Amino acid sequence: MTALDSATHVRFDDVSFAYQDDNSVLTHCSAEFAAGVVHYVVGPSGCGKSTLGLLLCGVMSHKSGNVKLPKDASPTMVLQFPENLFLTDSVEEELALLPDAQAEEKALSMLADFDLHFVDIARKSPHRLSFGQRRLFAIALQVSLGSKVIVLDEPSLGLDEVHVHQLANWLGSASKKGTCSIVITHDLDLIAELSGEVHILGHGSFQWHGPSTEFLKNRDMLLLAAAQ
Amino acid sequence: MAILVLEDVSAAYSNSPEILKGLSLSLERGEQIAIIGRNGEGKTTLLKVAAGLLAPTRGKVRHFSSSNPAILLQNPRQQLVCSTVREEIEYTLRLNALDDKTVARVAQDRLQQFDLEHASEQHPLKLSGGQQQKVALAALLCREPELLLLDEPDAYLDGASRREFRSFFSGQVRAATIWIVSRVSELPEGMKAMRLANGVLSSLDVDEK
Ligand SMILES: Nc1ncnc2c1ncn2[C@@H]1O[C@H](COP(=O)(O)OP(=O)(O)OP(=O)(O)O)[C@@H](O)[C@H]1O
Ligand SMILES: Nc1ncnc2c1ncn2[C@@H]1O[C@H](COP(=O)(O)OP(=O)(O)O)[C@@H](O)[C@H]1O
Ligand SMILES: [Mg+2]
Ligand SMILES: [Mg+2]
Repeated sequence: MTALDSATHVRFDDVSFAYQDDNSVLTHCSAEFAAGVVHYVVGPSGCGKSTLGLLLCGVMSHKSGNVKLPKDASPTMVLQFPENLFLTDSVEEELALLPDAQAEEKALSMLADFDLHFVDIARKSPHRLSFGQRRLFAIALQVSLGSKVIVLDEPSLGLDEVHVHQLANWLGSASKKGTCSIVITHDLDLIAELSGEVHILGHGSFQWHGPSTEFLKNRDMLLLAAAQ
Repeated sequence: MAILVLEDVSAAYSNSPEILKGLSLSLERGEQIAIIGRNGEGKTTLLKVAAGLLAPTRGKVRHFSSSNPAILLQNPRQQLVCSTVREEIEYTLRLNALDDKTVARVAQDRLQQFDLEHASEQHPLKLSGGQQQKVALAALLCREPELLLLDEPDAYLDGASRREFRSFFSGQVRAATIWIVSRVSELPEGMKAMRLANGVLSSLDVDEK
């Protein structure tokens, strides 16, 4: 990966990727994700959204093309199955693994915003939180790292209305502060709650992008066109 | 005739406060209800108690069916055990003591129905999240249970797959069902709904819908 000097956006240039030689997921995929707005990546199951996120974060490497990141970005990602990243047996220990006190404080304040209070969950195994609580906890952990680029893979899946609203608020204010947030989702409630830029992935590359208001107005037509 | 009755059921995990607090529910044969509740309210706990996976601390759980209830866990990865998608489906069919030929035929039908044919020889845990949930659902429905306990069964599906699954479900599935959701916008159309709050069930306000 190369760094663009002063730019704060993420760019995919003609990126191709396959898990096995015969199973290509992304083909000549290009996109631009500017900082300061929330980007929604949508598309049918299996079209490659999570794969794209993993490539962006350097968890896997693409076969050809370029992923350009802002300088010193060290992107982070909240996984679609976030429990895969828990390493310890309690919320407390999980928080103690964060690099510094500042990150820990940030995680705690975010948890409080989500109505998850440290005293109630400190001793609990993160695996024993409810599904939604676990997702919120994973989001708080990753976000606290303060990365300039963050990928969230279906962050609102399984969340109730109040938590979707709180998540949208947080995403909105983070992008105002200059974070480049890339949200993989099929949650129309979330997209309706917080406007941003929608990118439709299909057949290995982006088929459409535009403002979320326009996406919501014509979504059936746009998604169908991208799937064909 | 009832198929599942919960009588004044309370439940808690070790060293935790009570989550279900004297909850009662009676589900008729073939009756399908949705239960909505906020995160952490106890929806999954209720399903575990109904399935017999968690013993209530008080009250009674009664089953009146000849087969075991079929539960779809909220995280589909927790119930995918085979090394290909086809085996996953064939395995559940064999549990119903079908002969090999029927197993192969029915499995093929299910794969088509859930749009999983192209993925049939892949490892279930290497599929995308939505595809994993479809495999778990397809396998579960192959058991043709009398009682289905579904924990947010289409949360991982994209919009189009969700519409397809819901229309298949309302058209073809006649089993008594508890269908959990966490948001009003996810309630299955036309299904009776109840709200879980403070450890008990109540009817859903009309203006909530
Ligand atoms: N195995 C467990 N051990 C201890 N506590 C648990 C366990 N599973 C859940 N809990 C706690 O019990 C409460 C109810 O959890 P439950 O999973 O039933 O909620 P839920 O309504 O299904 O939530 P969600 O919408 O997030 O799935 C929560 O406070 C949760 O942290
Ligand atoms: N670890 C893996 N090994 C092999 N194939 C995979 C793996 N992960 C995903 N795939 C395949 O790559 C394609 C894209 O998956 P994914 O990026 O998870 O889709 P999405 O997130 O858009 O639903 C799917 O066909 C999926 O089966
Ligand atoms: Mg995915
Ligand atoms: Mg749950």
